[in-house]
Amino acid sequence: MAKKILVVDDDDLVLIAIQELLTPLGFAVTAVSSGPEALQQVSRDPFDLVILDVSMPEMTGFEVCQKIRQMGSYADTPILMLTARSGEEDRQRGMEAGANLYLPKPISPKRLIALVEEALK
Amino acid sequence: MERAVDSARKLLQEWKGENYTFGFDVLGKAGDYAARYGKRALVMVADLGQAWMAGTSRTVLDSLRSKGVEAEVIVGAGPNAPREDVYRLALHVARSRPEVIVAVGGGSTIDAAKAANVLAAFSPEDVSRALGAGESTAGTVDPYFGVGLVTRVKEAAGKTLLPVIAVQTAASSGAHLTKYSNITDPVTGQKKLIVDEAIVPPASVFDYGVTLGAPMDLTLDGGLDGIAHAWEVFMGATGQPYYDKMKAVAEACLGLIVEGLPKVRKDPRDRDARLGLGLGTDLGGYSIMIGGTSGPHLGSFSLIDVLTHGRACAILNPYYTVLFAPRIQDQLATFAEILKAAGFIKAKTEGKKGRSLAMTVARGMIQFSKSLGFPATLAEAGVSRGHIKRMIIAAKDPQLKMKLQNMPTPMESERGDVDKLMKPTLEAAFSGNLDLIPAVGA
Repeated sequence: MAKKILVVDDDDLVLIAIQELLTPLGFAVTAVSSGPEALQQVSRDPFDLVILDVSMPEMTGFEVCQKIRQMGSYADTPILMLTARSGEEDRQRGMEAGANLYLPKPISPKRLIALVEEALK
Repeated sequence: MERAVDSARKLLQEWKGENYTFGFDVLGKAGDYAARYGKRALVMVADLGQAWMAGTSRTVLDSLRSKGVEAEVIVGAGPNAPREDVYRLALHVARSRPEVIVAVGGGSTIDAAKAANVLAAFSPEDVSRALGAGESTAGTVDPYFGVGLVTRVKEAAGKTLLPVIAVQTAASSGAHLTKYSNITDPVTGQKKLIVDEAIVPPASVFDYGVTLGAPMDLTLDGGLDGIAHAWEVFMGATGQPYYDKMKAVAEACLGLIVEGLPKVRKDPRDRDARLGLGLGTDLGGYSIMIGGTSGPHLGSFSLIDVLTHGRACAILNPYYTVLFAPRIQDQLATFAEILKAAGFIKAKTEGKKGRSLAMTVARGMIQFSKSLGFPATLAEAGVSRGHIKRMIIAAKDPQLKMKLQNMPTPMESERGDVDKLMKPTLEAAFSGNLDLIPAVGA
């Protein structure tokens, strides 16, 4: 069965690109553009991986990450945070919120694919 | 003006030959260029939704289709090519797998397209092997900042980059002709540069008619950017084997823009003036392929939250002109003639030399900026002392070292030059007091 990935980013064009990049590789990608939508999705469906943007208008990626981690069923699910906020302080905040990896944008598509494959091994 | 137009045309034709089409009603050439490289194009268009761009993108798309090139259109980059847009564009390159990229827009979209193409082409392993980048950075854009690093990865990996056909829409950076990609970190407000022959678009189009509808602010900023390119490289050309070539390029470029900008400001639909600006800024692009820009450009990279690039350079250039005075006497005489002919220097320049001539030229440059309604000092423009600190820190960043080396008298941050020479020059630009600029030896 295809591994399920939730992608959260307020840039719809990023969502489309990631969806179209990862789907042909055999992943089932669900894309949402806000924190509240992401929380709704994870409470409804189990995901094997979450790719999370940080700077989003309604709820930051840090808050979303923290809330996901508080759900018992998501304690061990890999969460990748991808962000334009690349400072050490932000990275620490991301890791404290429960991210497994905190990466600065832009990363190369090849690196993104490698990280996804690695996280879902 | 006619002489400068002829000279500019000749210089551009000699330089780019068949790979660059410029002038009026030339957008149709984009299809011919794209068809050289394949049948599937990913077209990155800036400012979708802005009325003045709509006709341009439609004409480009029609020209692609008429040559049998299938086009998928995506939105290009926002102002200053932010890192997030590079990420988005790289993802689209990877998922779309085009044979050719067509970037339609100003410098931001073209620069972002160049960087996204690089980012999509190589794996983190390629970057680690070629540049020794660590695991955390190898898959990002950071290892490419600097000079010639894309070529190193490309050669070590034995891979090629997709061709980027650049369709320029703004008389400004000359990004469609050059090896530069300027990327901004919007969080820190700092720009960084990829400088590499491997990212020069193999073919480009610039229809100067597109600029007839451009917003005035964009037009003025672009013209000032063109001046900054030619003047900074010309200043740094002392003693270089390319001095004569650079002098010819700078004379035409500076003459066309100094004459053209006030005319366009008066009548935005003045086709002759738009032609002059288009050619002038193209020659600005040529300049930065001959040599490199220096202090003013470096400073502008730290001011993106308060000033546009063109304005930042326009404020800083007169002050660096005085700093570099002993090494740029012929350049000063050349620019003095141009500013005098256009009425921005009223004083006598015959017999003047050294710092005195530099002061006269600097005042002429400031007068020119003021005539366009631009601020003449950093303080007037809303720059804070914190920005000056930021500029000094950036000047010591090894990834921007090339800007110090491009100066007529290269600065070494390790030797303390940034604090001794650059800092007081920035203080002078802040207050407008030319006397604060240190006197340096020839």
